[in-house]
Amino acid sequence: MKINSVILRKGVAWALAALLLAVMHSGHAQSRFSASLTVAPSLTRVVHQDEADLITRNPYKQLGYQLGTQLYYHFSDQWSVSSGLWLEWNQIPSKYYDAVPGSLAFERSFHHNFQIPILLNYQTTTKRLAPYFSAGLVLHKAKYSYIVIRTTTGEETEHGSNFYSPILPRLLLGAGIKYRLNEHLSLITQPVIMYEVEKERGKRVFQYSLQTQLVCRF
Amino acid sequence: MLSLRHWPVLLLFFTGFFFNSAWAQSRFSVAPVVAPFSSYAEARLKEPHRFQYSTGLSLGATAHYHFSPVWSLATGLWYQWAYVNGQTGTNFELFRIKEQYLEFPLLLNYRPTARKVSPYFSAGMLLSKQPGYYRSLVSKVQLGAGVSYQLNQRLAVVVQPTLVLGSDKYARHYPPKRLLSLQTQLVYHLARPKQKE
Repeated sequence: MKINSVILRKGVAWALAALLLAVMHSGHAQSRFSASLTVAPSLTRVVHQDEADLITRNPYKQLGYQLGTQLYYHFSDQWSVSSGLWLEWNQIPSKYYDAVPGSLAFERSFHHNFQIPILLNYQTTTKRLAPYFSAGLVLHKAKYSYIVIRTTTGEETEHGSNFYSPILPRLLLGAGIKYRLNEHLSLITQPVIMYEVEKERGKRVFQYSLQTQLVCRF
Repeated sequence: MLSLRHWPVLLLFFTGFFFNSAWAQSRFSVAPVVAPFSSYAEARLKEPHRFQYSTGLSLGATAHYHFSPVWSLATGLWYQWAYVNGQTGTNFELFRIKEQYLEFPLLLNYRPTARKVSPYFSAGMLLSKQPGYYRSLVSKVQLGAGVSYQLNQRLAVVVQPTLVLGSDKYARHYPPKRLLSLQTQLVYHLARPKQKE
């Protein structure tokens, strides 16, 4: 499934503008909006079903972290929707592909991605410590990557690539806790699973992360 | 787009605030600024191998002049260290360089409410220079939206995701640069001078 990037960009811009306008006009003691910062170490597992594909015949793991920000709209004490931007830095730390077995090897690679989450969040109680659940879509976009190649002489060279890559949706599920520090600040910690399937190539991606968020309610 | 050429308009717009003086707080504040960032200059479709990506840190200080409790004008000096990964497009080998920038912001800030926690918006321009490079001064546009948290009467923390648009003088053969940063500042209000009755 591919999403037209022009429509996406315009949609995101309009959504942000609308949310910002709404933030400015909210005159409650405690507003319906909050903003958050996110930090998340992550482990991504990529599995391929197509054995014929040389480059991607082996499953591999990516290690990395995400940094980002989100804006929340609380439409009740327990339910909220949120969206924002996460920046992701990943690397495949070990040798994952012999281009020509025994001569040329893909040694390591580094990847930088953008993710736009669109989430529905639910906390079961309004107490200071509450179970907290999130579910929704994450639009994933690879920004750039570079690979380290080892040649027959043992020399390592680096090559960047910035090819066009489609925006792919991932499903997100998270379950954790929310702890209210004071009237305005709270902390959310959630183990999160993201799942992506690319049917044409038989590729499946599982991303596990531990998200920690500092949320500030206006 | 806002630029220095439009200074008479800006001046006319803001002189109105000078005469509105029935207001208790001090008009000046200073703020140290920390901003980790990530920047992008890419042309995916035309030249997929010509790009420049960087990450880094900005450190600096700004001084704010508060025209009203809601509006303020900020200027200051930031120093930026960037670790760049890039390719020229002719040779597929990745290169890494370090770059440094000196930046003079000229920003208009808007804090729509006087509550303890409020949205905080900034817009304006950055004059950016690479120290040691001949005539490298360029202007960029900066936009930011975030949170202002008033800790006490004197101190406030402002956290803002910001977007900077504009290329550097010696990177003209690259596509336009976009920079995303998370700007964090601790705003300290100076003491109010005693008024003569």
